[in-house]
Amino acid sequence: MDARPDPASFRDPSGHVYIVEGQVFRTVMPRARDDYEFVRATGLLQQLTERNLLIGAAEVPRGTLGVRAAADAAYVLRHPTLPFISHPYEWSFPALKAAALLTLDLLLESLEHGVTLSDASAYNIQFIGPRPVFIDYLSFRRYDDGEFWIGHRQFCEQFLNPLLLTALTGVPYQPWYRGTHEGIPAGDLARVLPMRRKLSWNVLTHVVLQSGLSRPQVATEAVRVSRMKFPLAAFQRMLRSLRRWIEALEPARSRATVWIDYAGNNSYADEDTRRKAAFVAEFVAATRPALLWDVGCNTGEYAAIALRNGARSVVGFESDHGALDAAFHHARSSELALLPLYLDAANPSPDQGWNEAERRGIRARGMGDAVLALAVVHHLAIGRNVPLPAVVDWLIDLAPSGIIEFVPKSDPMVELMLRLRRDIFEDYEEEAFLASVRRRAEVVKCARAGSSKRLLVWYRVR
Amino acid sequence: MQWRAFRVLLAGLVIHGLLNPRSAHAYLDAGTGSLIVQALLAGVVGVGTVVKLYWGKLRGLFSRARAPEVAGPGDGR
Repeated sequence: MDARPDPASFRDPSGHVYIVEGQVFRTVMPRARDDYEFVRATGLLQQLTERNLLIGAAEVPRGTLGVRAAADAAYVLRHPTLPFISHPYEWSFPALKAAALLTLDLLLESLEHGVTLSDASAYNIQFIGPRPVFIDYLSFRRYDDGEFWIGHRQFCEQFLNPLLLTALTGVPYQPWYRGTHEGIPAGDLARVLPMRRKLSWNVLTHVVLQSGLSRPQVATEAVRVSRMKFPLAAFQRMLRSLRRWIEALEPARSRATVWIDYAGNNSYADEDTRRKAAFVAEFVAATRPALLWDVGCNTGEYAAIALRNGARSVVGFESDHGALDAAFHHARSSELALLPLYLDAANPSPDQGWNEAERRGIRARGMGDAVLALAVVHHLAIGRNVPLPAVVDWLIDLAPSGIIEFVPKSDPMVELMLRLRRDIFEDYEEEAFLASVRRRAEVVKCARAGSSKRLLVWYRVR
Repeated sequence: MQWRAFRVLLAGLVIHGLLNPRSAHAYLDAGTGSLIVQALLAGVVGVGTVVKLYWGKLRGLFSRARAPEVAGPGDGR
């Protein structure tokens, strides 16, 4: 078979990732053989895997991967399949921070074994629930005494600078990061930081100086510097100092975001919430989805209920940063298999990067087994003017079964949305909603959440 | 024009070929700013050197404001 490597696996000629019939393989090409064997012999990979910091890998006979390139490979590894692939621009602030800290920790630990990382790409990390895991075996290579940290600039662009943007200005990094998909260059960040922020030693060196000295006129000096010895102790000191700095970063948000207080401050009475929770629990217990998509997951309350009742993993989508960060903290502290991601349902992640295939959009990453869309429809249909049937179609296309909640105009939340605008939504009513669902799927069960007029619909695609 | 293109090409080759002699198998470009900042943090180059290099940038700005500068490496875009 002449299968091609995964479209995101082309930068490093040391090896490539292949996905064949749902299984993930990685080739180690002859040029990387020595480094791979050296690193493997240190026992580092095994230790990291046992502590769940590095994804597992088994060496398999080259013939197992039935592609032509495998014949030339020195080794073929097989990795476990991840529940969901996410991109750094979809991660919440605390998730990107956790990924940054993992990268630094792995590098520090590697150096103890005479090993270093050849890059510092955020795409080397994936999340299993809220837990970051390093996935790139070929990033590990032998450390040459006195060498510089080649990944420093990439680390700054893909981890540090986005975190700094949000921590120092309060502007969320996700839309910018998605635009470049390679992070934020120091020069661009330096232009938007207020002067007083540039006066800290860390910002001055890693952002201002790095950007000011990234120009061809400095190349001669850089070549001279690169021949110097960068002492290991100084390398480790710099990594620890970066670690302390990043660990203390928090998003600068002057006030609570829109939905963060939603769980405690919505238009639902407690009895209504209980009924909604029971309906979700019943649906999940009956369908037992391996991957549940929770669109508009807020702080993860219903995701937690779903996980308690038989969902194996939940990927939450949320566009409010306060709620998103809270959901991530909730998932970590309660050890939930929930990965909350930044996603605006009216503008989901597209296919992008090289050849528009390198970073896949939400659709191209496959369907969920089930979807929860609680209190979402009115935000799209009224908040974003998407026609009601199109909203229903989009949600049903996400998964073969799910729960969609319809929030009528009489609901206080919708009333609030319509207070400052003309009601142009004549077709926004329950009968039209049900008709849209029935056109695509079978309605298994409906429930009204207590006193409210909201309708919960359990659908199943025929 | 050809001479200029040649100079740019030569400068590019020099930068790419020589920048990281301690890590010949790296597939990433470390970047000039990153290397000098690391050297500064490690104390292997002095603050004076960095200030001078950075000052060159500021001076470049002023001189460009006065007269168009001679093309340096990488200006061939």
